[in-house]
Amino acid sequence: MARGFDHLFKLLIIGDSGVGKSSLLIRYSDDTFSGSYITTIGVDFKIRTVVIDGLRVKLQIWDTAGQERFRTITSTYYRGTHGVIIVYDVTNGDSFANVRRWLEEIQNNCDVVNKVLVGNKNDDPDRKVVITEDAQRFARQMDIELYETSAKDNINVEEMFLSITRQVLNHKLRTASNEQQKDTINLKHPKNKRKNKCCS
Amino acid sequence: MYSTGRAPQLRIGTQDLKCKRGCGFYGNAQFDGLCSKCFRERNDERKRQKASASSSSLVLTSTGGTMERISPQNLLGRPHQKNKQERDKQQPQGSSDVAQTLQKKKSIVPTVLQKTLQVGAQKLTPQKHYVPDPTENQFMLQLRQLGIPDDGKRKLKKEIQRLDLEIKRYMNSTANSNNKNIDELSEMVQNAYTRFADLVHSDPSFQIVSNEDRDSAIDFFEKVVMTQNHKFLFSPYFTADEENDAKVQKRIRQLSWITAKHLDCSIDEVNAESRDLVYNAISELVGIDSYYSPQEKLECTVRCCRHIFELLKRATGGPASADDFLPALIFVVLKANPVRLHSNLNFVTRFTNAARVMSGEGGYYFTNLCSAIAFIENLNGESLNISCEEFDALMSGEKPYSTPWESALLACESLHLISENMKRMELLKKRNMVITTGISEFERELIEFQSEVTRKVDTVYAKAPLTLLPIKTPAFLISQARAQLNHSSDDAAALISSGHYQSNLLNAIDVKDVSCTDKAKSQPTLLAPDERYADAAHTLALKDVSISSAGHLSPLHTTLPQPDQLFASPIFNYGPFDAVSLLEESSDNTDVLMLGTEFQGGLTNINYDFDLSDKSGENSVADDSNVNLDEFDPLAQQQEQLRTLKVEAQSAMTSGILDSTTDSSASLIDSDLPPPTGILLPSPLKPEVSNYRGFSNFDIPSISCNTGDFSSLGQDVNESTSSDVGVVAKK
Repeated sequence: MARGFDHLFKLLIIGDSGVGKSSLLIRYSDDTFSGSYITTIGVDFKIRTVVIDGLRVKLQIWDTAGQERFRTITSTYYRGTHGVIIVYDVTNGDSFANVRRWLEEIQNNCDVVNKVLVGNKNDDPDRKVVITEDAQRFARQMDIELYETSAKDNINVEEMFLSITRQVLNHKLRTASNEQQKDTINLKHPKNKRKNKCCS
Repeated sequence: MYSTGRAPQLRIGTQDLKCKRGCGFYGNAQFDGLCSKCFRERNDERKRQKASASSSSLVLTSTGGTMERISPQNLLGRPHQKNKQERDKQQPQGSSDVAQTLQKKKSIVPTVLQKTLQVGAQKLTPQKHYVPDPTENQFMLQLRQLGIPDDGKRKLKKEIQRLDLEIKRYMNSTANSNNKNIDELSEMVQNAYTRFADLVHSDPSFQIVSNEDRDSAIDFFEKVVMTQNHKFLFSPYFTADEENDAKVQKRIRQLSWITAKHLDCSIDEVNAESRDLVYNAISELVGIDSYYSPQEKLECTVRCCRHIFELLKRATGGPASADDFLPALIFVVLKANPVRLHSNLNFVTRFTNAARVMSGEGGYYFTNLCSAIAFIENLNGESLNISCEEFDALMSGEKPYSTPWESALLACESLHLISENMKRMELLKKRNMVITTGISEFERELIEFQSEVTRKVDTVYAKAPLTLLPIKTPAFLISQARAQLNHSSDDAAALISSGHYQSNLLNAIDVKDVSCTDKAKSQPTLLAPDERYADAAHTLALKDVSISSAGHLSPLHTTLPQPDQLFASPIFNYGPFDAVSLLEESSDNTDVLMLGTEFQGGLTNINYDFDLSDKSGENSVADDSNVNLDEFDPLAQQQEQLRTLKVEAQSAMTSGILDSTTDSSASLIDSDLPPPTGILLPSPLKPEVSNYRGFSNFDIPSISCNTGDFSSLGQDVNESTSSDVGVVAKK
C-alpha cells in the first residue's frame, strides 16, 4: 500500500516522574539524524517514520505522565500499544526499583507487548547509582533488552528506539506469517486486542 | 436445568422446538425452525450456490473469519443469557441459543454481504423503504465531492444505508428489548467499519482511488452513519451513561476548590494571557457535546489539548511533557465541567473507528482526556498532596476555600470591564487621532490655500501692478505751502516774541507733552483761564461732564470741527517732515496708502486715551505716558485756538497770530472746503454736540464722523496730508 508507510506502530514511554521520558522523546523526534520524521505535534505526541529492512515503519510515540498519582489511570494508554519503553533514571535507585511495578502494570494491561528497558541519564559516572551489572541481570531475568542512554548527550537513543521498533516489527511479521490468511488476520488482530483491553 | 423442569406447562411441544434437521438441538422460528448451526450451514450452502463465480477459498476465509469473530461475542453474551433464562420461561434451553444466534446473525449477515459485495455489489437488493431527510441531502452533496468513482460511491452509499438499517433494526427490535447491550452495538458498528475499510482497499472500483480519498471515504462513511444515528447511539437508555454524567458533574462541582497548585501544574491562574488560553481550551472542551460525529468530537479534543500545550509552552518556556500536560488537562476539565462527559467519551470510544482512538494525535489526546476523567473520579487527598481530613472537609464544603481561579473569575468581571473600557478608550483615541490629523490637515490646507491665494494675488499684482499715479498737486498749492511754511516760521518767531504769556503757553504745551502734572504745576494760573475758556466754549455740549483735563479732552473736541487739525494727529507721526518733503514724498511713493492706516492707528490711540480719561477722570503720569505725543501736538493748535478765542473774547493781544492761524487753515483747505477756518472758529461746537454724545459711549462714531467728514471732503488722502502737513509746518 502506498500510504507513506508499511507499518504503523504505537509505542508507549512509561516510567517514574522525572526519569527523562519526555527528553528521550524530544531527543529522538527532534534529532536531525534521519530527518524522516513527518510531523511533530507538540512534544507528547510524536510521529517518526523509520526504514527497517526496506519497510517503512511509522512510529507514534506516546508520552505519559509519570507521577505516582497518575499510576492508576495509565492503563488507558495501553490500548493498541505495540511496544513499551520502560525508563528509569540511573542516578535514582527508586526509579529502578519501580521498574518492577511498571512491568507488572504492563502485564496487567497488555497481552503481548514488546518491551525495552532504558536507563536514562547515563552521562555522569559520578552520580550513577544503578550499576549496569545489576540492571543487566534484572533485564535478563525479565527477558527484556536493556539500554543505557543519555538524552542529554544523545547516547544510545537512536539505537534504543531502533531496537524496540525492530522488535515490534519482527513480532508483527512473525504473527502474520503464523497465520495463513493475511486478510483475516488484519480483521481479527486489532479486534482481539481491543477486546482484551476492554475487559481489563 | 431449572427451566426444563417447567417444560410440560408449555403449550408448544418440546419436539416442535427442536431443530427441523433433527440434530437434537433446539430450533428457532427466526431460523426457519432450524437450530443456529444448521441454519448457518444451510445458508452457506445457498450462498455458495448463488456465488458460484467466487472462489471457494474466499468463502472459506469468510466463514473462518465469522467463526473467529463469534467466539468473543459468545463470551460477552453469557452473563445476559442467565438473566434471560430466568425471565423468559416460555423458551427454555433455547434462549441461550437465541441469544447466540442473534449475535451470530449480526455477524453473519455482514460477512455474507461483504462477500457478496466483493463479488458484485449490484446483486445486493436495495433498501426500498429508504427515505432521505434534509441532513442527508447535505451528505449527498458531500458524497458527490468525494474523489472516488461513481461505482465506489454507490457502494459507499449502500454500505451506509445498510449499517444505518442494521443499527435501527437493532434499536427497534423488541425481541431483546430488555437485553440490549451497547457492546454488541459497538461491535456491530466496528465490524461495519472494518468491513468497509476492507472494501475500500480491496474492491476493484476503488483501485484507482488515492489513499487520501480512501481515507476520506471511510471517514465519510463513519460520519454519515454516526450523525444519522446519533440520537440512538448517544447515551442509549439501556446504558448508565446518563447517571455517570450526573455523577461526574456533581463530583467536579464538589472539586471546585482545586487549584493549579494542588495539581502541580504550571498554569498561572491569574495571568490574563494564560487565562485566555484556558478559556479557549475550556470552550473547545465544552464544544465536544455540540458535535454529532465522533470525528468532530475528537477534533474538538485535539483543539482543546493544543490550547493547553500552547499554554504550557508559554508557562514553562520550553516544550511541555506529559508530566505537565495531564495535570493541566485535568485542571481544564475541572474548571470546564463539560456536560454529558461520560456519554460523549463513551460514544466516541464505542462508535468511532477503533484505530482512531488507539493511534494518532486525536487518539493520544482522547486517551489523555479519558485518563483525566478517570483521575477526577478516583482522586483523593493523597493524589492532591493534601491530608485525607482536609480533603474530606473541602469536599463536604465544611472548610471554606478560595481559589485564585475563582477570585480571578470575580476579578475578571471588573478586569473585563476595564479591558472593555480600555478598548473603548483605544477606539476613542483612534478616532481622536483621526480628528486631530484631520484638523492639522485642514490647517495645512488652509495655510496652503492662504499662501496660494497670496501667491496668486502676488502674481496678479506682479502682472498688473497697482501703479499709483503721482498726485498732481497744483503748482500753486505747493507754492502756497511753501509760502505758508515761511509764513508759519515767521509766526512762531512772532509768537515767541509776542510776550511771555504766549511763550509760556508754548512752553506749557511742550511740558505737557511730557507730563500733565508738570503742566498743572507749572502753569496753574495759565491753565485755569484756559479751562475756563474751554468750558465756556463747550458749555453747551459738555454740560454734565466735568472736564478734568483739558489736555486730554479739549484737544480733540475742539479740533474736531477742524479737519486739518484732526488729520494732523496721525500725520504728526511724521512730525519731523516738512510740508514740502512730505508732499514730494507722497507724490512719488506708493506708501501713501500707509498713511491711511497710520491715520487710523492714530485715531485708535486717541480713542483709547479718551476712554481712560473718562473712567479715571483725573490726570496722571501714567495716563499721560499713554498719550501719544503726537496726539498732544494738536493741543498746541487747540491752545492756540483757545488762545485765539480768548483773545477774541478779551480783544486779542495780537491779531497777527490769529490771522496767521486762519490764513494757514484757509490756505490748506481752500482747495475744496469753502468755509475758511477763520470763519468757522466758533463752529467747532456744533459737531461737538453729536461727537460728544458719541464720546460718552463710543469714540469711534466721532471718528467715523470725522472720517466721514474727511471723506466728505471729497479729497484725496494726499490732500489731507498736505493740509496736515500744513499744520505741521505751522507748528
